[in-house]
Amino acid sequence: MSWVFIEPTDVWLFRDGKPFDAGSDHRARTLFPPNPTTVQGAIRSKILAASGVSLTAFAQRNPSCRAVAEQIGWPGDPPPFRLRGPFVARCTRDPSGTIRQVTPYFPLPADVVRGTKDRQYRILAPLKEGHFRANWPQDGLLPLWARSTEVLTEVTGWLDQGTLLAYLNRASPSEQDVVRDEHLFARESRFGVGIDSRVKRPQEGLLYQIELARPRENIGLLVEIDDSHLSSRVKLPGDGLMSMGGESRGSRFTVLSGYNLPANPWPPPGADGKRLKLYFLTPAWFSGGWTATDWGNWLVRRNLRVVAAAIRRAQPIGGVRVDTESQKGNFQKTMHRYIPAGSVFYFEAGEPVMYNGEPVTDSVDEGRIGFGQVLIGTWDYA
Amino acid sequence: MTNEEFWALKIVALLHDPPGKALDLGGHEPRAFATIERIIGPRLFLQLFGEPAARLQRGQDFERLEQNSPNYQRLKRADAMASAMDRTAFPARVKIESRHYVPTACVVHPLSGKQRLLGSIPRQFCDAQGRYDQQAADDYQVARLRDAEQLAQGQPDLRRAYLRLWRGLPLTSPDVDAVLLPPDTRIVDHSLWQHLDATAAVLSALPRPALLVFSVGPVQSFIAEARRTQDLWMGSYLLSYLTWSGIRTLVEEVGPDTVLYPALRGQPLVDHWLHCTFCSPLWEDAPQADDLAVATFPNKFVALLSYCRATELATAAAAAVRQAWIEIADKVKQSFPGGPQAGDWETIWRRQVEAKDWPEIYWSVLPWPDTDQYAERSDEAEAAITLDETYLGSPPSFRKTLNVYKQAWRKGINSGTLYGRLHALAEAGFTARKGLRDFLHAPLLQGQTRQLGEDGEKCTVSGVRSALRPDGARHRDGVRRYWQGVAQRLRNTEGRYHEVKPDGSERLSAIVAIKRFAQRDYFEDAIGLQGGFPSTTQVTAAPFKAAVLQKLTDAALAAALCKHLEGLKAVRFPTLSEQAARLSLPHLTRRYERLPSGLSDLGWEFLRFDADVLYPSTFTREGLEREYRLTVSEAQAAGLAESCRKLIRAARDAGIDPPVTYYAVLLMDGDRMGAWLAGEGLPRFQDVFHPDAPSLFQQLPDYTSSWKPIIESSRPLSAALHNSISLALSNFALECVRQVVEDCYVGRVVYAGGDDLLALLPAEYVLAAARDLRALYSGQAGVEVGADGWRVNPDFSGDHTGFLQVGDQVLLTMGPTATASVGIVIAHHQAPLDGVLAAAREAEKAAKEVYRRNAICVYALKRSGEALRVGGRWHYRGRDLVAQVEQIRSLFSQGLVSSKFAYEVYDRTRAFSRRVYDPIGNRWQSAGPPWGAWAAMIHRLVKRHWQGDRDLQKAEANRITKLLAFLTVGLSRHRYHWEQQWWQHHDREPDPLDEDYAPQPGPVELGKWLLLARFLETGGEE
Repeated sequence: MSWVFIEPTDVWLFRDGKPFDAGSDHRARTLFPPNPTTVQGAIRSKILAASGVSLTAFAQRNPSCRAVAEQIGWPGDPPPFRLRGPFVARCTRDPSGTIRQVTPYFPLPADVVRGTKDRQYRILAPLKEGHFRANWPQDGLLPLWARSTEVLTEVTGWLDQGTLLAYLNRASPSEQDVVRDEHLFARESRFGVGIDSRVKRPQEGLLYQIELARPRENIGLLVEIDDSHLSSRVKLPGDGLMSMGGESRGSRFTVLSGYNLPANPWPPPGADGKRLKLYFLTPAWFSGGWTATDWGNWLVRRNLRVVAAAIRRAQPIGGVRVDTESQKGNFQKTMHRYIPAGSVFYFEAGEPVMYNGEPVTDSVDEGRIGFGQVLIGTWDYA
Repeated sequence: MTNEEFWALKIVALLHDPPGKALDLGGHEPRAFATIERIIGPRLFLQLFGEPAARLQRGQDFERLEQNSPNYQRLKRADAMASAMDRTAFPARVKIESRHYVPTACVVHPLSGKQRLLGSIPRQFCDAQGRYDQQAADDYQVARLRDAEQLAQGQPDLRRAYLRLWRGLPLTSPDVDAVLLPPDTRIVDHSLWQHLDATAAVLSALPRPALLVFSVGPVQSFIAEARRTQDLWMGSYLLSYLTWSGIRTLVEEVGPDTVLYPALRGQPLVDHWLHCTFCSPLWEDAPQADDLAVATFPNKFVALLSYCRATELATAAAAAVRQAWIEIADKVKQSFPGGPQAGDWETIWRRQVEAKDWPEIYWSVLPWPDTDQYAERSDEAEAAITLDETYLGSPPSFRKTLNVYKQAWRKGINSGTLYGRLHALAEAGFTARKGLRDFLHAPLLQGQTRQLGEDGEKCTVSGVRSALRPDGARHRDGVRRYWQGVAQRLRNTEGRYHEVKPDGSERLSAIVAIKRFAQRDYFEDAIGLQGGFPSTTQVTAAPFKAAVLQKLTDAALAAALCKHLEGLKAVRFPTLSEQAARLSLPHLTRRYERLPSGLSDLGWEFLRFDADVLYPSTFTREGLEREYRLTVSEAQAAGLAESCRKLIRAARDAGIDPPVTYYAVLLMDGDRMGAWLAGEGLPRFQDVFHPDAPSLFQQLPDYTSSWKPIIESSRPLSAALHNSISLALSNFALECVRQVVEDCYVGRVVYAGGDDLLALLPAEYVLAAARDLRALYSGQAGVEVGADGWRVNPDFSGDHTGFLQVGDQVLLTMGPTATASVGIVIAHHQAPLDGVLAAAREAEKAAKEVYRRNAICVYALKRSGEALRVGGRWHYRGRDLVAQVEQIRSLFSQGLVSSKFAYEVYDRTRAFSRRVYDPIGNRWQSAGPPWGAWAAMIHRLVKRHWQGDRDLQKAEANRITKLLAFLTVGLSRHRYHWEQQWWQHHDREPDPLDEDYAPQPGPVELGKWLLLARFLETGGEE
C-alpha cells in the first residue's frame, strides 16, 4: 500500500459534463475535489508513461504491452489494483521541503447542522417517536432530528480526521473545527480567445472563460494505491511530475512513507454495535438511486434495517474519454447520479452489525478505484 | 358532512364577523347571520343550525344556539382558536367599545409597532362634534353585507359563492382605511380579513388541524441552468407555476383560506384561475398579460388542513405538480420543431421528463392536538406545549408564559395560542424530510447491470443531461447537425428566429428545451402569457432605445434611424416577434405609444429589432454569417456598420449618450426572514394595543401579578403575523417591484415572490433602482403617482409606519424595522449568463455576510477579467449611500473632476488604512484613518483634478471633502465590527484568505466606490 500526495504546480481544471468547445459555451467550470475516476486515470497514465511502453501500442492493445496491461489494465478497463481517495489534504514540510505530515480533510457529514443564531454545530439523530408524516421514499424511515429551538440549517465545510473520528463517536464539531472551502482552495477565472488555426489569429466572438481550482499552499490530494501486486517496473517512483485533469495541468506527486488513514475501532468502547452509521468519504453509485438494493453486501447481520439517511443533492458523474481515438467519436461518458461524499446512513439490527470493509457501492469496478469509501460510527436515538 | 354543508360552513366562517365589525361590535352577529341565511338559503341554514336566522336577534339567542347546535359550537371553537392564533385572546373585562374606538381609530404595524391613524373612520362614523355615530356604522355594515349577497348571488354552487366572497368582499369597501380595520379593538395589529381567513381555515380543519409544509424544486440549479434570459425567466416561471399547481389542489378542495403562506389574494395566477376555471365569470377582473409575466409564487407553501385529509391532499398536490409538468412537457413535445421522434430522442425525452423524482417534491405534516379529546381548551394548549417540549426541547420559559396566560384568563387559551411553537415544529419536520434528497434511477432493463444514464453528447446548458438527438447521432457532429436543423425550422416560423442558435452550438436536453419553448408552446394558450424576455443586449441598450424614441421628433435622428433600418431590412436582418417587441420591455412600449402618428411606423420598426443592431461590432461578414446565417458581402457589412455609427452620432447630436455595453443583474433578499417568521424581534404586546388598552389592563385587580408581565413581553408569533408578512411581501412583489424596475428604470423583473427578487436592469440605473426597492420594501419612501408612473422618494431617516400610501391605496409593507440586502452584478452584455448569475448570488451573500445585512454589494465584472467588489449599508445615520454615490458620479458626468481622480484616491487609500495595537486585547486592530490627513489628501486631490469653474473650486473641494469623509466614517464601521467579531471567534490574526471575505478598511471601500461611480459613468469604458 502506498499513499501518494499530489499537488498542483499551477492550477487544476476538473471539468463538469458541460460541453465546452468554441462557440458552444463560453464558460467552463471546475469541480473540486475531482472524482476518483479522474485521479485513477492520471495515476495509470503516469505509471504507464514511467513503464516505458509505447503509448500508441498500448492504446491499440498491442500484445507487446500485455505485461504492463495485466498490471494496470487496458484502456477503458478498470485497473487491477485498488485505490482509495482522493481526499483533500494539507501537507507540512520541514525546512528542506520534505513532507513531514499530511492532514486529510473530509466533507462535513450531511447530518451535521448549525443553529442560525447560536452558530453551534449539532449532530442529528433518528427520532424514534415520529409525530410527523412525510413523503419518505421508503417505509420505516425516521426523521433526523436535534432537540433545539434554534432554526437549524444545512452547512458545508471540511473536517480534519481527528474531528471526523470524534464526530463518528458522537462529538459535535465546533465552529473552529469546520474548515471552509476557501481555506483549502480558491476558484479563479481566466479569460481566453478562441484562435482560428488557419490564420493563427483570434476568432471574433469566441471569448471564453475558464474557472479553475487553485488549491492553497501545501494543499493537494491524497490517494492510496494498493500497489502490492505491481512489479517494480510499473510502480510510481518516489516523487515526480504528472499531468492531471483538463488541459493536462501539471502536478507534483510524492509517495509518502508511514502514513495511513486512522481506523475507527468497531464497536466503539461502551457501544453494543447494534446501531451503526456509514459516513461516505467518496461518492457512491447505487442501483436504487439514493440507496443500495441490498445493504447485506457490506453489513453483516440479520434483520438489518435502514433507519434514516442524510443525503445532499445527487452528484452527477460522467467525464470524458481523453485518448485520441475516443476523442474522434462519442467521447463523453455516460453520466450517472451518485450519492455525494458526506452522505450518512443509519442502520439498526437486533445484534451487533459488522462491516466487511469493502467499498460500499453497487459498482464493484468503481469501488476498486475509490468510490464508496466509508467510515463507520455509532449513533443513538434523538 | 356533505360538500354543500362544508362550503356553507366556510361561508359562515367568512361572514361571522361582518366587514367593519369594529365599527359596531354590539349588533354585528344577528346582522351577519341574516345575511348568511340569505346566501346559503333558509333550508340549508336550518339544516346547519336548527333554527332560522330570524330567531337569532339577541345575545341569549346565540347562547342557546351554542348549547344546541353542533355546527355553531364548531364555529365558536374555530373562532376561538383563530383568535388565539391571531392575537392571543384577552379577557372580555378589558373592552374598548366601538364608540370609544371609532373617534380614535388606528391600526398598528405588526412588525414595527408603529401606529397609523385611520383618519377617514372618525370622519365617516362620528358626527360634527366628534361623537360616535352608530347609525352610520350600522349603515356601513348593512351595505357591506348587501355587497356580500350580491357577490354570492347567481353562483351555481356554494363553493363558487365562497370563492367569490373570499376574493371580492375585501374590495367592496369604498374606503381604504376601512379595509385595515381590526377584528378586535384592543389589539390592532391585524385586519379583520386575516381573522376571517383563519377562522374559515380552522373550521374546515377541525377537530384535528394539521400544518402542511410543501416545496417544489430544485430551485437554484434549475434556475441557474440558463444560457439566455428566456431560460432564466422560464426557469423561475415554471417553478412558480408548478407551485401554484400544487396550491390549486388545496384551493379547489378546501378553499384558499387554508393556505397560510404565501398570501393568495391578488396573485395574478389565482385571479386568472378564478376568472377562467369556472363556466360563469367568477371573477371579472382578469389579470393583464404583463401582470402574469412575473413569477410570483415562492417554491414553498404552508397550509392548515384537517389531519384526516392532510396526507391525501399533500399527495394530491404532489400529483398535480407532476401532472402540470407533464402537461407542459407534452405541449412542448407536440410543437417541437425537430420532433417528436422515436428511438433515442423519445428515450431521452421520457427519461428526463417522466422521471418519478422530477420535479423534486418534499412535504411533511404536523398534526395538532385533537380538540375532541380535550374537554378543557386549556388542556389542548397543554398538549401542544408538551409536543413542543418533547420534540424541540423548548425551555421552561414557554411553559411559564403559557401558565401566566392560563392564570390570567383560562378560557382564552387553546392550541391556537401555541401557533408559533407548532409552526416551528412543523418547519423542523419539513427540514428533517428535506435532509434526505432521495433520487431514483430509471428502472433496470432486462440484461442490464446498470441503469441507462445520460449517455452521448450532453446538453450545452445543463451539462449533466443528454442532449436530444435522433437515432445514430451519438457523436457531437451528428447532434450538432440535428440542432442546426431545429434552428432552421424555427427560422422559418414567424418570430421564432432567435430561439435556438443557428450554428448548432446550442444542443438542449428535454428539460432545457421545455424551458426554452414553454412560454410559446404552453403558457401562451394556457394562461395568455405573451411576449418573450428581453436579451441582455436589449436590457443593456434600453436607455438608448428609450431616449431615441423620446427624441424621434428630431429630424436628423429620425433620418439616421430610418437609413439604418432600411439597411437592416435590405439584408433581411431577423426581427423580434411582434409580441416580444411589444412586451419584453414595457417602458419602451410606453414610449412608442406616445409617438406622434407620423413617427409611429418608424418607432415600431425600431422596436422590432433586437438591440444587437445598435452596436457597429455586430456588422462583420463573419459575425452575421455565424450568428444570423446572413450571407452578406464585406461592403454590405461595412455599410451597416457605418449606418449604425451614423445613428449613434445623430443620437449624440440630439443629446443622447451612445449605447453602453454593460448591464446589471439585481438580486434582493429580505434580511432575517427566518427570524421574522419565527417571531423574533416582534414588538411588545402593549405596543400593538390600541392606545387606550394599557390603562384598561392596569385597572384589572390581577394586573401586576398576571397581566403586567404579559403585556410587557414580546408579542408571540401568530398566524395573523405570518399572514401580514406574506401580505407585505406580496404587496411588494405585485405592486411595487414592476413599477420600479420596469416603469421607472427600463428593466425587467424575472422573479418577485416571497422575499426574493431577481431583475435585469441597465447598469446606469441599477443603484437607484436597488435603493428605491429597498426603501419600498420597508415602506421608507414617499410615492408620487403620475402619468409617467411612480416617482419614489426614499427616506431612511423619516418616521415611517410601514403602511405605504400609494395614491388612494395603502399597502402594508415589512415596515421600518425590517431590512433587505441586495447583490448586484454589473457585467458585459455578452458575458456568460450562468457566470453572471453565480456572481450575483455571491454579491448578495456578501451583502449579508460581509456588510452585515441591510446592505448593498456590487460586483463589477469587467470584460478584461478584473473584478471590483464594493459594498456598504444603505444609509449611514440616515444619509442615503446611493444618493452620495450618485453625487460623486455626477462630478464625473458633468466633467467637474477628471476621471483620474477616482484612481488617485484609490491608489492612496492603503496608506490611510491604519492598524493600531490594542494592549488590553493584545492584538492589532483597524483604526480610522488620521482624519485630518485623510481630509487634506482628498481636498488636495479634488483641487488638483478640478475641471469646473475655477471660482467654485475651493467651495466645491470643501463640499466634496466633507461628503467623502462622512462616507469614509460610515464605511470604516464595517471593518471595525468585522474585527470585533473575528476576535470573538478566533485567537489568531486574520490571514490573507480571511481578508478575501472581509470588508476593507473605510478608505479602501471609499476608493472602490469612486472607481465604481466612474465605471458606471463611462459605461464601463476605460
